[in-house]
Amino acid sequence: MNYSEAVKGKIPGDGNELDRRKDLWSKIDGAYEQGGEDAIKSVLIKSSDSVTEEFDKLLKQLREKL
Amino acid sequence: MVTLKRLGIKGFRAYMEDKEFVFDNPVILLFGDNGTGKSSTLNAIEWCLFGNECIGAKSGIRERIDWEIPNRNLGPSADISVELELEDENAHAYKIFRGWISKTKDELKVILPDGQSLEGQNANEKLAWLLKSSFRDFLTTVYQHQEVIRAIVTEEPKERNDAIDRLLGLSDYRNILTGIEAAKLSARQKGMSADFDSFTREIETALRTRESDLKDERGKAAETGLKENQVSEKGALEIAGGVKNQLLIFASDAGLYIAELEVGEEWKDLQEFQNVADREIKRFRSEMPDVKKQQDLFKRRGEITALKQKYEQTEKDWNSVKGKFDVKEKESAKLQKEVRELENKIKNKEKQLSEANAKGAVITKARSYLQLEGIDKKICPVCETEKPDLLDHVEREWTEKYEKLVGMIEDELNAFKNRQNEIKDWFEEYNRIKRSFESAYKRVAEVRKEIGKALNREITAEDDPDAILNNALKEVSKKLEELEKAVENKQEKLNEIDFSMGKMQIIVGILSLDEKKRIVEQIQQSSEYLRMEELRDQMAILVDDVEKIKQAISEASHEEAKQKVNAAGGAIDNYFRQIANHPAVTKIEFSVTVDSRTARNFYEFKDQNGEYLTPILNQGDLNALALSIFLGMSSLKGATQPFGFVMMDDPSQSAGSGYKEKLVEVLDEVLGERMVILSSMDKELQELVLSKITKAKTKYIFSDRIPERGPEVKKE
Repeated sequence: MNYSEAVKGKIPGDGNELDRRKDLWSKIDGAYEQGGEDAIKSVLIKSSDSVTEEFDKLLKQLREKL
Repeated sequence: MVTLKRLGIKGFRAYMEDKEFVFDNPVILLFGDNGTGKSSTLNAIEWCLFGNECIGAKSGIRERIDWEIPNRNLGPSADISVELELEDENAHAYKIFRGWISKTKDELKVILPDGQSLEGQNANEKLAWLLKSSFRDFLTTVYQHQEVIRAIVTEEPKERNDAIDRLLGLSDYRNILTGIEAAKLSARQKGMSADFDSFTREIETALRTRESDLKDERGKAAETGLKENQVSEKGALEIAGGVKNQLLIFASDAGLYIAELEVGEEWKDLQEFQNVADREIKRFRSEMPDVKKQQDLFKRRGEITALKQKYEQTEKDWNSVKGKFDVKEKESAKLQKEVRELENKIKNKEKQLSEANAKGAVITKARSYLQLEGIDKKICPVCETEKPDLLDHVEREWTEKYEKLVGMIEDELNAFKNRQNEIKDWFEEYNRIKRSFESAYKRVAEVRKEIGKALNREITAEDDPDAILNNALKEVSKKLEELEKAVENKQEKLNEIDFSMGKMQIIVGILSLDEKKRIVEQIQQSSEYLRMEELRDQMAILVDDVEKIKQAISEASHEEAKQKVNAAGGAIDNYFRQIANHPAVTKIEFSVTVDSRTARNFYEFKDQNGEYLTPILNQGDLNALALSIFLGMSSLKGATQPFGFVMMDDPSQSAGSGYKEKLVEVLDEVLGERMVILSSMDKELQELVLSKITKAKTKYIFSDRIPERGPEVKKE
């Protein structure tokens, strides 16, 4: 069993939660296969950027209202 | 696993001409003295596979810092290249070609089993896919480089654990963990969560502030007499309507122009109304006709008061100098008479002095004559008659009569002149006072004229300007008193309007604060706020998922490490005891646990008593331990790493005969799993390898290296 399958088999969780985690693992694994450690960093930062950027934009809007 | 089939070298380091090596047996031996090109051959393999990764400081090997790839005896346009033929576990052949272009650039080509040729990025990606390892992995699992192998047992725990992970083929787990940690998602999530909490606190603070401000404003409203039902939009608009009417009436009564006043339909319009009304009230206060008159009278009173002060001061100055002048004036006639008398006395005395001086001069000359040598002092120089004691007589005449007389006249004359000077000084003072007196008189006349002009009447010498000014002041004050009441009434009316405006302003303030409070209250129910909450939770879920994946990676890595440690532990123990033959170590326990802090594998080597090994081992033993781990891992059954060969460069350096013999025995075992490429200058090791290794061998003999031609290599 290669590392990818070994990790996949160890990911905890049930139902949707497990599917979501396995999906994230596929992204991480895919990035690693394509471009190594830096690619993992990029893919995770990109995933969180979409969340943090929207969050920061909303926070700025609401602070102006306050 | 990838194995080597052929190596072609041209112009690389020690090499000048094309050289070819065929790896056609499990054991490839590179034998020869120091400096004959053996190491360049092994280096050519790693450079072909990893290019610039194995050069310079980033290689992690000190001696590589100033490495040069091209042979120095070649011209700048010479071809420098290495070509490798590899074969994978399915017997597919790949050709790798790397040509040197410059210190920082090379050219890579990969020819696939089907003959397709890849270049550039495609070639790099294909080679990375084939090798599945970094250069650092290669150093710890394939190429037994002394400096790197020693790191396995002597470096810091983190370095050691990383190196053993690589040996065990667990680099992927470690690399992925490093990549995940580099993204620092947890820190981002904490920052986001802190921002959210901080914003929620800001909302709470803003609400408390608004409530407190509202309470204060409602208190003010009650103090000004506003009723509860007036504190509303309707109440504010009604007050504004009242203010408007009052202002219109006031303007009409006072005959003043008034600007357009628009109350509006909602409380927010009242701010503009208030601005206009405020401006108009301020203008009314200053432009009311009575106020204007009042201001003129204030000005008039100020002018008369100033004139009165000026007149009093000039009058005072004139009176003061007049007293002094009158005293002097009386004395001046008497002194003028004395001056005339003194002039006569001085004239007489000067005449007396002149006469006395003429006689005195005759006597003085006679004395001088008689005092000359050779002069008969008894004969008179004038009448030439004999006069006994003539000189004594002359001297007595001078001292007793003329000298005294002259002194007396001079004293009297000086006394007259002194008195004359005193009187002269007195007259100077008199003239000064006279001028002051005249000037003060002139100023008084001017002020009287000024008063006349200000009061529009003539001021004659018989008039008392002070009294006239007092009357004028009384008249102005009376008029002012009359006006003051009228102005006060009007200002009072404006104050009442202002007060109504104040009430309206308080209501507008309360309505505005109420609205602001509502906005703040609504923020937490807004779609933006709810979305932020959702995003915060989304981020927390992402971080939690990543943590769970890290945990899964750690568990999988540890599980695999444990299996491999168990599998290799026996071989390492066996190799170490064979090579080192350490009297105190009868068994090596190689174990792995998980570092709870880093979630990485943590490897330990202990002796048969459970004591850590490294403190009791000397440098030779540590080298043997490192070599045992390298070989133990390399000889593991199954593909722990992608290379089907190991390369050993002079592994017997400063080792004894026993060590070498054991090393050869161990290598024979390793050959069950891997091809071995061994380079050695050690004759004893060469003989041992040739006689004791049980697998087929290909031997390359390196003889003298001629700089112009490169290594002399013969295949045997």
